[in-house]
Amino acid sequence: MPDSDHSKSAEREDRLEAFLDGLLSPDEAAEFKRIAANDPLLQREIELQQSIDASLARSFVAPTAPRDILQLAQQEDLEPVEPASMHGTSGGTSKQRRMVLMVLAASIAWAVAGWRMYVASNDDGYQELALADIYQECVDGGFQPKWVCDDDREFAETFQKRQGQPLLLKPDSQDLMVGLSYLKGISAKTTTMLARVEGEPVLVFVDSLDRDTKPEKPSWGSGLNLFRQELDGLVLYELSPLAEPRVLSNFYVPEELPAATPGDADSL
Amino acid sequence: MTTNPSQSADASGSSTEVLSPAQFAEQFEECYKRLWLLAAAMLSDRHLAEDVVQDAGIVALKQLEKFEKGTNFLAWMSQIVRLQAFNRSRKRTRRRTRSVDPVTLDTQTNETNEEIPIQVATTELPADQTMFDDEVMSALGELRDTARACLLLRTLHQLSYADIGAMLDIAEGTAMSHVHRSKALLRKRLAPSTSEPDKTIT
Repeated sequence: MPDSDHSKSAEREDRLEAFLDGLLSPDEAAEFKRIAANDPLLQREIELQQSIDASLARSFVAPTAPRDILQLAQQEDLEPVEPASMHGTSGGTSKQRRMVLMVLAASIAWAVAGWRMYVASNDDGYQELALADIYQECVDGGFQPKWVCDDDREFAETFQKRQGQPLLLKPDSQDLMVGLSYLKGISAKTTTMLARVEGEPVLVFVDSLDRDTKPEKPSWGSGLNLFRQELDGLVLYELSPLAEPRVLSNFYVPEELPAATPGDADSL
Repeated sequence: MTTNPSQSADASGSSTEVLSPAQFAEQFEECYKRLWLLAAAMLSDRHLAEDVVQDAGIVALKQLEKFEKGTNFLAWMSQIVRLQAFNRSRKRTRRRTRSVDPVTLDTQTNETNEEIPIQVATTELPADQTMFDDEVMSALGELRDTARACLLLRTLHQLSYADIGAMLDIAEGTAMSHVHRSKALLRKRLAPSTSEPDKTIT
């Protein structure tokens, strides 16, 4: 690119950023808008930035401030608020009051936790757990499956019984699999497959589509990504630290159950 | 533009006067959303950010004598929040597999083959909007912490570059450069012509 073109392009970029940042004077901004109206590329950049800003606003809704930071500090047993002489009561009384407050707070916390568990329970007694929490618990526990199927038939039958559809992995992807567990996640009947991809633990939650509870996406900071796929009446969620799904595309629903291969302990 | 609590706190007080806990609580509440956004930008985790800001408030209360009334309360609290966030992120196990090398990130081009995680339906937003939000968050995650904090504080709170600089202990010009550069990077990354939908996911 010739120097003059490069310089013009840089100037245009600077002008755009200044406009988007509200740094232009009203006259300059009006002039820039006029130019942009005749420049579809520029117009698109402005619209894209507006979409990004709106998206950020949606994603970063601030929580409300803690009601009383001083009280929180007291609960931490810091007592920075007033010197002892200003309490007007003896230290023993203050401690007793704090103890009563702590017991009260603990009781309320238990009651709230109980209520939330009750509300989250469905008819099967299933309690919703975040998939990321299940993942963490599984990894912390050594990422051990409950069992490893002896053959393809046992693998397919497991899903046939629990999800109403047999499911199989393509032969060339079976070495990804670690085994199966019942970790719930979507419903009480969810079957979970443990896999390793590039050494990273990956979970695939499988359930029938009509039981899909649309689990929460992992928080941004968890480092986990959630991918979803529907397959002949089944719904599969792959939870992975990798940026793309690596297991989902390897599943298929067989037309009929495969034959059992007794003694073949290596295959799933 | 919101007012700076430090400027309105006490115009008549002497510089050596110490904030009372009640005054601290008032200013803390006023600054809370900006402090939370700073922590969220540093940690990439909104819930952890709440904990960090709360912890920072408690730490600050223990050190009230270190704050000179009439000076910049937001800058002082930001310093404590950044330290708390830094300590938290050091403790946290990082499982990300994507490169976070700041040198490569600033020069990173669009990854046209990258598949974006889908957004499961957790809100009432249209699917294409939640998908776009996911892509924005993914692109935001590739910025350096300081750049991300500058961008968010400017975009969502319209803070002046002087305030952002004070919060992050950087020059105003640096803060502006971070904002402009980050915006340009996000646009480049999210331009419709270069992002390809994930075909394997329904």
